[in-house]
Amino acid sequence: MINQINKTISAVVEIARGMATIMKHFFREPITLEYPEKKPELGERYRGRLALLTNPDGSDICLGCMTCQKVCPCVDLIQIEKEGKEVKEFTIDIGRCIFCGNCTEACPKGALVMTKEFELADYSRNTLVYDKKALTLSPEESEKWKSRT
Amino acid sequence: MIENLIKKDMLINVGPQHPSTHGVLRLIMTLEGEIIRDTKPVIGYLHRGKEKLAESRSYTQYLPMVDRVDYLSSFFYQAAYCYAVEEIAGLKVPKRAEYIRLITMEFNRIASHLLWLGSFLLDLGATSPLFYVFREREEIVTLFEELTGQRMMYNFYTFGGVKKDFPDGWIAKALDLCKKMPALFDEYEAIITKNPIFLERTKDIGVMTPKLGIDYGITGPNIRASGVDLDLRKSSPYSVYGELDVKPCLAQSGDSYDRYIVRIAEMRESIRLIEEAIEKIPGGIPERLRVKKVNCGCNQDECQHCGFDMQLVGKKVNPIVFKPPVGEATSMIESPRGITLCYIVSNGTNKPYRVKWRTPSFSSVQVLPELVKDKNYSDLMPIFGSLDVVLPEVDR
Repeated sequence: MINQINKTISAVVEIARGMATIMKHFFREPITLEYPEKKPELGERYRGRLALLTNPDGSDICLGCMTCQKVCPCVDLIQIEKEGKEVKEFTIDIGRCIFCGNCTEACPKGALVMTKEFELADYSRNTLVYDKKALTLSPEESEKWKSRT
Repeated sequence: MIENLIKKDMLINVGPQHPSTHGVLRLIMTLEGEIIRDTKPVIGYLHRGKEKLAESRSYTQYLPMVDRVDYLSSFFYQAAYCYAVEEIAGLKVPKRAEYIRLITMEFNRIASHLLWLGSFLLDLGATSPLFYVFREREEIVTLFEELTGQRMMYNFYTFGGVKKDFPDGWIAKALDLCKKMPALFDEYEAIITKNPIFLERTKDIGVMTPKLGIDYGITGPNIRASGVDLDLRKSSPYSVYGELDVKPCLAQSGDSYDRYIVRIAEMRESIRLIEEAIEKIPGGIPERLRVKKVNCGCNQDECQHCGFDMQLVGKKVNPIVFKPPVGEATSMIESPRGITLCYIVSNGTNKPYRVKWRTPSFSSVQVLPELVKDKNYSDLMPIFGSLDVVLPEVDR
């Protein structure tokens, strides 16, 4: 009987202690962000959508050496078509990309970068296949990304 | 007539979609009334062929896929894979890279245990701790994002070291977090440890004797809760754990409650290890090391500022033509769930001939039928939740 009473008292005390700890949280600042209105600050190394850089005069840095294609874990994700020395077509299927960053590290010229863009939802899979025009950044933007690394 | 019906065994199906399984696991259970007589786990719903995929990809191409074997403790799996490849290829890892690996791995262990704590209590019906642990995990994950570029699939280690150094100010932030964490663990313990409802549901439930655990190959916190002193960080140190003072966290009875106690103790231990490692890291703070490197510039191997041990990668390998010599290697890592083993056979080409993963959760699922036998159905979740099973790791 006394045991039972002791047990009950200690249970009540412990639950009260737990509740007091939970109550403390009422007076703390919320840590969540109201996402679509407020966006998180992303780190300098964030791995988002892939993009191609250009020289200040607008020409491609990419030589079409296919190194990115060979280190990519998703087979045939990056497709490059060359015409002579010029890179004619450069397509990346962002829908299948796993954002591992292997290609940007392997690129000998530093032509491929990962931007901070992460809102990539779209209505169909076909629109997620980015061609060279969609991937290439303007010379001004390229300068910004070059200075990052 | 009703008695006859009750006495009859009933076959029920738990899962494949169940909130407490971290994935999809199906349990076919035979119940007699409310007593569990027999359990058959059905696994394979998350099978992605991770071992087979390795055979058609080069060593570097397989590296990001290793992260996906267990998404809650990616660093450990990458480390296991990298150690095995380094052993075959004979690559040496600089000390600084090893320390960076150790610090990130210990942070990852805390993040993984925190998520376990939240989901375990959610299984028992307590919802608020889930939000508290996610709040703390968020801070660790933000640190990882700053360091590696992503929140879950880090792809940060490479053969012979790590890819990048700590960014400026990272170490100060990490130390701040280490100072803050123990007070937060105290908070969890105030809510959970002596809560009478929690005690009723976990104390003396799902007792795993040391013999049962050893027979089934259980490792990690689950076996340490039974009193078996098996911690690879202490018994066969792999990274630079030999230079640090690792204290294994043990408990005696091996019930669900002890598994909780061991994991909380391990999180505190990890915090201590991180603080010790940050103190001992060769080269210290990256900003200062950079200046010292420029000032010294001697490029000798034994130099304190620009020697081999201060590098991030020992010897850079070409990702396309990297071909380890013929041979095989095994590496073992103490991951948050137990011993992770990676076995690689190389046949001299740039693709591995065979990659085998030994994952600790696989053993934990096997021991579940023994633990829940002749128990009440309501004890299933306290037992299964306490084992910390992550299903992608079982099926891989």
